Amino acid sequence: MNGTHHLYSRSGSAIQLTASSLILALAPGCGDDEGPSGPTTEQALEYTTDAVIVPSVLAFESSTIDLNDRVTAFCAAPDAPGLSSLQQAWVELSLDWNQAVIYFFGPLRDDLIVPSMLFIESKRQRGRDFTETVREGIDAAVHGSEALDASYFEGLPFDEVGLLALEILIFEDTTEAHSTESGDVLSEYEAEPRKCEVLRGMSELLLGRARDVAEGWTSDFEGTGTSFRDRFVAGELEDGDDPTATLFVALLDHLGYVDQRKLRGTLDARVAGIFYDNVEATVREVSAALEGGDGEGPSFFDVMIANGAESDVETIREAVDVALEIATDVRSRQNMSVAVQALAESIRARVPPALDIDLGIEFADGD
Amino acid sequence: MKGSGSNGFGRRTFLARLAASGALPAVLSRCGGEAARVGLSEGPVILSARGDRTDTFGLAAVDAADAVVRVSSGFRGHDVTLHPVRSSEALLFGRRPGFESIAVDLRSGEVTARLQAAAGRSFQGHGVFDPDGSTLFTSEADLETAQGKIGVWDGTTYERLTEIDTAGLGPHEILFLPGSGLVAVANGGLLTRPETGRQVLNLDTMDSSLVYLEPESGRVAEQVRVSAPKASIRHMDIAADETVVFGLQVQREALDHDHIVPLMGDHRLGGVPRLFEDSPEVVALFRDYVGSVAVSAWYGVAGFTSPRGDVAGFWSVADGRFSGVVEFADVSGIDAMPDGDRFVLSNSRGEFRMVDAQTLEEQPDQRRRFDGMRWDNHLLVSDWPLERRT
Repeated sequence: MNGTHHLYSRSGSAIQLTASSLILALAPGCGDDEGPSGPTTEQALEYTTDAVIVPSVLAFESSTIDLNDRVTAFCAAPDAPGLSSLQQAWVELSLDWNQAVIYFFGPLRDDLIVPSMLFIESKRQRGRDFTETVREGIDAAVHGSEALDASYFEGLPFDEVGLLALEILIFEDTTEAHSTESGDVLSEYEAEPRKCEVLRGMSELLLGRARDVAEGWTSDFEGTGTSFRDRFVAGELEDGDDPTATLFVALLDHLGYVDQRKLRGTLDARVAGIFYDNVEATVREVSAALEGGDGEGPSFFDVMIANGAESDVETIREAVDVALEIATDVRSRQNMSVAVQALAESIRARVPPALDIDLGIEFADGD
Repeated sequence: MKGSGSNGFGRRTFLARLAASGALPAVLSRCGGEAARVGLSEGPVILSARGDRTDTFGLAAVDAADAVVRVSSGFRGHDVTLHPVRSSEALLFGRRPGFESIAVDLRSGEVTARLQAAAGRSFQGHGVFDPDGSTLFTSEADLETAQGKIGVWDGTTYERLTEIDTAGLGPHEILFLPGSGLVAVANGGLLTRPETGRQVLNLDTMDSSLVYLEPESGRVAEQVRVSAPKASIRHMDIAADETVVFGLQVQREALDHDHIVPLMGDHRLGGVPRLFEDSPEVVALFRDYVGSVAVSAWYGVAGFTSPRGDVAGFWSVADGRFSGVVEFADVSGIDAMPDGDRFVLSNSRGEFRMVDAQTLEEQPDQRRRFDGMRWDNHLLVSDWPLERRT
């Protein structure tokens, strides 16, 4: 990605930059050597956890509840307003998920090989697009005769369920053309009662996952009787890792995923047509994690500023602004990719020294 | 046991563990603010490249009591090997493209020799001695063409004597096979140039191979390739029967599919390379990247690390079956303990973890952390004093 790309400033005027020039421009400056006199990283972690992370996880759970309620209402009497309401609920759910997913540790990473996260977003593992797998599974369920009971849904593999399955069910029909016309989608629900059974089953399955993740963060993590929130802010992670480093590693990892597996691979939410909205949601969540949301703080940025890294904070904010502008206005894959890379590099270079955390060293291709 | 395997002393080291000998080293060491004390204690010692900037780059040796010998290098190191004869000498090889490597006396903590890359050549991070220590072989590359070279050095004076062509681009890890007397070379197949840094310039035509060379003549005794065309062979170790176990790195951007490509495999002279197809869901965790390979000869288990996936996975050498996996953030270094019963893992946060080579479970009570230390790609474990290895 070393080509020249057109980005747009806040005023809308075109500017030119390359990935390398943008990354260089965002390289760390020299902070002063004064010792910290403000809030600590530990305080910022606790505040961010309570003001940003847990609310995002709960918002995701709340959206799954809302979707589930609308599924119930729609299936009781399928009609056009009900379908529209359902589609809007899926969009909200997807946006909330694209905020919560950046916290891929703890309850979302409850299993090394097949974590809960995969049952929500199958693509997240390594960017593989399971759209056709999902379509085939839904088609077989809708037009088959197998009992669509709880055991059927609980036995489904991760690549046939989750947000993608709900997107396919809600936004298109099961014909070979995969029509997304609302009339076609609605007609199928009216003609095939089993499709609503599949929809209900998938929705409840996702709701169960969302509740498990929320419960893990707020009350009981993996049957320990302790919330992951408490263990996280107390620095009591099972593997002995520093929680702040864990947070930023996850955050950078997700930005890398968005760039490499989505922007330079296969876009998600293509049927619903909200890919860039998802990216925007992710960037806003990254920003919130740094800024501490809308609250009083102390945020990680507050700690960085107290440690003399105010210019670094401003540079990261600029990178966020550029990324948001492209996600909302420009909507170019190449530009979005450059901006996400630049945001990630800016955070990687500037946050660890300012917060005194260790994110590891580079193990490059060929080493 | 990787380091030993690399220099042909693995099984001898392994069997000689109980042989007591040698005086205690006299290096003053200090670890994380601990009081200084004299020398490395008798027993297993872990050696690794370390550091993340010029003033912290170097080699460190750590004993079981956490005493540390640190030696500054001034360059980013990559792999470490031990001199088979000089009882306290270790070598740190420059990370590619490196222009310097060093020999270190672990008793004095002094750099005893600096090996400079020949004109137009760069070190590629790895090296190996022949069994009697008379010759050192270093993986090198032509700066302009990336053509692989094996630098041949006098093992006593560290004078560069000649070079051998590796029949491929971008060589990386090299091993000496004591039984056959051949040098095994992992030709990564990637073309990089100084002016474009580590950017791969030949994704379309990359050609990785495992080559066995006669060190005296430079003749290619055997050259094999794996079936995955965009997989680069980078790291290796030797099993008890001289099977070469290797780890791959996949150039995903050169592929037109998103299927999982096996990253682990092995090869015996005269045979066909075998890829470990078992448990692709575990291979997926490695994110197309194996950072290091080590074999426990005692249990016939090969360990592979991935700092990108934060995992170490283990496969049986006998049948290529997946045996276990552990999580460890930014893990790259791996070696088997001298007695073969555990694997040691290291990461860039200065941590070591132990994995039981039989159960393949991590031992939380054996965790160690060295604040301010950043362990780089590879580590080596050996008994100290080093005489005990023979």
